[in-house]
Amino acid sequence: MMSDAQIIEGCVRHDKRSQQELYSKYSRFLMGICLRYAADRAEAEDILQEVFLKIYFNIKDYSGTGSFTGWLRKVAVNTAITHYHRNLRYRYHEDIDEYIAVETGIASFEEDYFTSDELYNVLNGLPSGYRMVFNLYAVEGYKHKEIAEMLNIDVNTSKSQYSRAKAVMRGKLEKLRKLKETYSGGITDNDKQTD
Amino acid sequence: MNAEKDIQLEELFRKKLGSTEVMLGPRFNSSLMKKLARREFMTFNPAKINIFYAGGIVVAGIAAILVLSLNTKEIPPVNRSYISENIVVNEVIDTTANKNPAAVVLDEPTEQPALTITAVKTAVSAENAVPVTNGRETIIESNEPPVEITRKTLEPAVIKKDIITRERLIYNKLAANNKNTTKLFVPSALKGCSPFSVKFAITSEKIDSCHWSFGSAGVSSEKAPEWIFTSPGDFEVRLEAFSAGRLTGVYSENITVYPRPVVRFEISPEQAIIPDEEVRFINYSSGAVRYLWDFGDGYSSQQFEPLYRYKKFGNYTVTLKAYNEYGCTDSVIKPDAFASSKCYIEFPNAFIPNKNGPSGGLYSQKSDELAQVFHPVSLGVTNYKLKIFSKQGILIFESSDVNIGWDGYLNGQLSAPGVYIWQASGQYRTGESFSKIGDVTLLNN
Repeated sequence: MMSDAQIIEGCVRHDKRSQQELYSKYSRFLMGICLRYAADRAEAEDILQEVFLKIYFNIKDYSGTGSFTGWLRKVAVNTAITHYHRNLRYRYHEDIDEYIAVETGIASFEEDYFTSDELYNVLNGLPSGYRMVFNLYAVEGYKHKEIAEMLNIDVNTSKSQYSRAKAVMRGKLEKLRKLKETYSGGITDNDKQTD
Repeated sequence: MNAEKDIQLEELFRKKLGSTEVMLGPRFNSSLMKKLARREFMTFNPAKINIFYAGGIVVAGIAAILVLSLNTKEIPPVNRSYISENIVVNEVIDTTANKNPAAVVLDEPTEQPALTITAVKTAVSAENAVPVTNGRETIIESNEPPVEITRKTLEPAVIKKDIITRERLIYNKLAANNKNTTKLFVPSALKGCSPFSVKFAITSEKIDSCHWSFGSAGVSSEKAPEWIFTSPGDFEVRLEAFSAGRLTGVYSENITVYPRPVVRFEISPEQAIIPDEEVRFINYSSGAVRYLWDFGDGYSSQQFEPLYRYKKFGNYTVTLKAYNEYGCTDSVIKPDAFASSKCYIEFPNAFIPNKNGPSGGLYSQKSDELAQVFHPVSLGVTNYKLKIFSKQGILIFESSDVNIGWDGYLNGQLSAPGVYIWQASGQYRTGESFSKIGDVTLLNN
């Protein structure tokens, strides 16, 4: 097993073995990030390919200070944002009003009540604008001002999209919980997607 | 309460998904590696083969082929001896220290302004295998007595400079003195009338690219252009010939283009009655000194404005050809020049006889403004007979001359007002005959 420093040094030289090592060590972690920003697995894989190419060709820019995984995460998030911008015009624009009305009172979430697969499903089902803002704000921890700059939108848009995203997600999670309580057995994807 | 909920939702996702690892299918890795290999090929990296190296290899290959093909065009030895006899030295000699125009023998490189000196030397020495093409060398000529210069050694660095200087010398010489140069092209004609079309054929097969300028008329890069000079004037046609990308010769010829006369004529009268009437041909031509008329019936005239009487009617084609002092001609052809002279005869339907007495019926357009005589208007009538009858069918008037009509009198007595019948028959000059019947009202004012 190579250390991060060895991997980085090898990748700078375009060394095949180091590239493989980087891939096997971090691809699952990066896929975890990409999947949050994508509508489905195929899109996530597209983003991940770009992420890896960026990493391989720009690894010399990694300063060495700061955590390597932090740098990788940043590359992944930036690539996802670029991808979002590029695909914006081809994407089906969902009707926002559809999601506004679903505000439901769900008090709190038990951490282990939902599996990560289920949470991914909820995220993937969001309109892409909501998903971007929610990921960047709630998971990545950016400020609304930064998000507005990254996504090239207004700060207020970022804020309102975030609150709408939350409302939508609460509704979805509530529905999911009810389903889970009703059928304590297996739940199909289709059931989860139904609104 | 609300804020607490938010945090919990955020936390749920942050904790569960913040650093989740997701398994990837095996196919993803292979497709990524393919993409990576392609991208790496397109990016410059000194350690690996990539598109830049590949491109470099291709460029180097092309360059090698070009160099090889150039080398095969080296001049044959015959030309080298010729070079040594015809060399441009007059500029060179002035800069040398000994100022001896007769002969300069150099065993070593001197400290003189080396460029011009060695320029000559290189050209002279046949053993220095400087690639020189035939076309360029043959056009070096000088009015000065040729000077023999020999040289045993020559440094390669000097040679390179020499070639540049030498080319410049040659070019200047060519540009200043291109009358002395070899005939590089042959025009199909030197003088002509505008629009003047000239074909230019190059004489040397070694020329592989040409730049022609036709004075103010334009330029061309064709090998054997055909140029049409549309306006008159003197044009210096100049060829800059290139072989293997280098200027090898300049040559020019003067082409003179003469103006052409402008020809125009009219026939008067427009509807001439031929053969009866004499026809005048009015000449509006300019820029001509000599004219040739062809009347279309086999006769011709060289007068400026001839008068001509045709022997018989016909559809004649009249041609006027004009010549100017340069022998340039132009002509105008009027086919079927007398088509408008169509024959006809028409009669009026009323007339008012003169009460003061019979006029005899002779009329003209001018004398019969008041329509006092009954007569036809006609053109080209050669044979004519007019008869006028009363309503009772009695013949009152008869004429066989188209110029004599009825004045309304019968035996010195003015006929009664009313309707009379007329009958006209005859022949046109075309040979066509006519026969018409009508009535005319005699009015009493």
